[in-house]
Amino acid sequence: MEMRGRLKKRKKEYNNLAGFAFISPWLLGFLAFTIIPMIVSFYLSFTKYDILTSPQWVGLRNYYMILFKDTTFRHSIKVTFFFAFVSVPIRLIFALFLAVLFNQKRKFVGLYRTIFYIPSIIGGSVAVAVMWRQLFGSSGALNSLLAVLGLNIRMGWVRNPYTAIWTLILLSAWQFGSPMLIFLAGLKQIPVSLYEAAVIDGANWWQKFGRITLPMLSPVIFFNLIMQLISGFMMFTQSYIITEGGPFDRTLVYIMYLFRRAFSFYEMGYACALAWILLVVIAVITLIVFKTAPHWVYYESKGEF
Amino acid sequence: MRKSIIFLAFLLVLTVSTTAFAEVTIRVAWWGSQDRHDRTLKVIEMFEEEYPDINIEPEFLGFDGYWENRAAQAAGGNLPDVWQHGYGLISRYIEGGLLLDLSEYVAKGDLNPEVIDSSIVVDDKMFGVTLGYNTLALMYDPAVLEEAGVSLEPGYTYEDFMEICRKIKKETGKYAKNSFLFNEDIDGFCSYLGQHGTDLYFGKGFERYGSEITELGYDDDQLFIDYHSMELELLKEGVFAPIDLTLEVTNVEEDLITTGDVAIAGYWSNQIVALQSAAGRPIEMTIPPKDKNQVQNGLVLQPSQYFVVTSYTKYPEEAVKFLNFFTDNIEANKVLMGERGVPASGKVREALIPLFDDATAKTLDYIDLAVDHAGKMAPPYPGEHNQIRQEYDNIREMILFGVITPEEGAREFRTKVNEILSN
Repeated sequence: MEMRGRLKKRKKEYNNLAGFAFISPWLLGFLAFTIIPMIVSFYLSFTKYDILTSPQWVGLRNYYMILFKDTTFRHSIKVTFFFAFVSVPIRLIFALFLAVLFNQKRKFVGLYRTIFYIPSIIGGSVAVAVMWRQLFGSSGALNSLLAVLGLNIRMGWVRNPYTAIWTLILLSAWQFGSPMLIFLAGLKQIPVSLYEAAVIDGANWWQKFGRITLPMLSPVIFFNLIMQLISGFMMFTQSYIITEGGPFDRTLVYIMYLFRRAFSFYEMGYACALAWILLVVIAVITLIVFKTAPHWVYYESKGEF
Repeated sequence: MRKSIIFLAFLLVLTVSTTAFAEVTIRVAWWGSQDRHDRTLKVIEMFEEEYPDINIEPEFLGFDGYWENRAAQAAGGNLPDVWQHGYGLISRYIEGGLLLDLSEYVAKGDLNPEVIDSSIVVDDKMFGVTLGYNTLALMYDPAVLEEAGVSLEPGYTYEDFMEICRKIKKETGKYAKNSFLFNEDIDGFCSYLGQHGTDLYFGKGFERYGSEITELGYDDDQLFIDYHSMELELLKEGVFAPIDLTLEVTNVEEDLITTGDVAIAGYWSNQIVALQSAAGRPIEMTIPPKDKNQVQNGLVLQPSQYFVVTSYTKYPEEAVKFLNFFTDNIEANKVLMGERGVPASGKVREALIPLFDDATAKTLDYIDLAVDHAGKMAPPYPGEHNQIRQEYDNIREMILFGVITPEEGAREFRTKVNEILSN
């Protein structure tokens, strides 16, 4: 009896070991590229580090400067909030609209789904950002289109302080592919019987959408909202390539400002402190969204609303 | 037993053979226009032919992003063996101990002492080779100026310049220039300050150099207001191109003078080679405007770029060989043709003068002209200059977009600069 017990234990240990062995590539990568840099960055946030010489300890000075003295920090927070809270709803609305559209069994719907997903794959890339800059430039496609329609505005949309942020928001909204697919999956989960019952009761399209689709989708909306908000706060590439944070910092999103402090001003310690402050900001926002969830998110399994 | 002996023998042969064929690879990085990339790559090929056991891995970019790239590499201890540097940031890198002292190689005769400019000599240690000399210039399309019936005679003032710009717009319908009075960088304003006997950081006659700099060098905000009011005036009159058009330009090929939208552009003198090549038509250049009340010349002659060697390079000898080839070899310089500025090596200049093509000959002529109109170069600016440059760009854009007035801009600039310098 004892022998069998020991064998069982060894087999369990062997299973654990095998498990670790299989995830070890990922685990090593996670340690090396995520955990260790996080720890180092936390340490560096308390130093003054100009990359070319070794870090000097300065304690809480970076945090103090950022929170109480840095006006550009406050400005970039405002810009980032504006960007995130405008581009994310637009993106989600597009995603939901298209998901509903593609939830039908029409001819070629699979093809359309693929085509509409493509912008999301390429949208985050440098090449598309460069193309976007050209598109909205003073001699770009948008102005040519407007000229055809009779409006001869030779405006540089990308460098105009009032429109620059909207070119970025538009690019972000264009990448609605992943939330769209998630919405699609969510839509497929809604029991058809609910819709059938509603039709019997004489509900029209709008009522079906508002009374059945949206509430049943609310967990998915919740998930998408959180994920998209987080990535919205982390936008960088588009700002760097298309507008360079300009004109005069009108599109200076947070990570763009962080990058500038790190690599243009040679202040790595300060930039690390900025990174950790961003973590706190995003965590707080996520927490707020979670707190409001019970009021609008309906989980069928929980049975309450 | 026999198997392991054969295996060991095989290993031995393998290691010996690989060391015998071991090639040294050095990385060389620079920034520039496509024209410069083509020339530099050709010289690299020539170098590899002459030194077959040295292999070069080039890394090249446009100016945009070059320094962020280097900073990232510096942080990772991964700087290239040889790379291009500039006057603005070199003191930081020297202080950081990241550049190799080349004085022993100069003493040995591996490098021509003519190519070591005094600006990179610190305590008798030499931290790079000069790739050329240049200075600021006003480039213009002679055809357009002729059409407008104007000309830029050296010694012309800002008032003359404004009148000439207005005439260009009136007679030809083209914008005279992009939205900036002289140059997109703070250099134009620094030049103006120089003409008024002061400096951005070091005050009158550079008197504050050597002590800690905690505030703006010039006391009179009116200087800021006057300079930027001139820009704003011409912009409002429609004589200068709209600011959003100007800000879209990210390289020489896209510049408004290349596309023919403007008649005049402010650039560094060596850039005429790339500019003329991109524009595909003759471009001339002359000195920037003088101030009618100036106390001294604002123009300054300086080393354009350097090549430096990283202090922790594995192959200093090979790197120095490349530096020497690049700056002192006549055949190599026949390809480079002074695109980075007038060569520092005397024998190279002599060999090149009869061969200089149109554009490069203009550079040489211009340097000769500029020497007569040049003032004294300021000592290296404090490390915060990069940040202050960014603030300056922002304030200037706000002025030109009409968001704030030049007066507000002057005050804002002073506040921001003092804040940055005193931290």
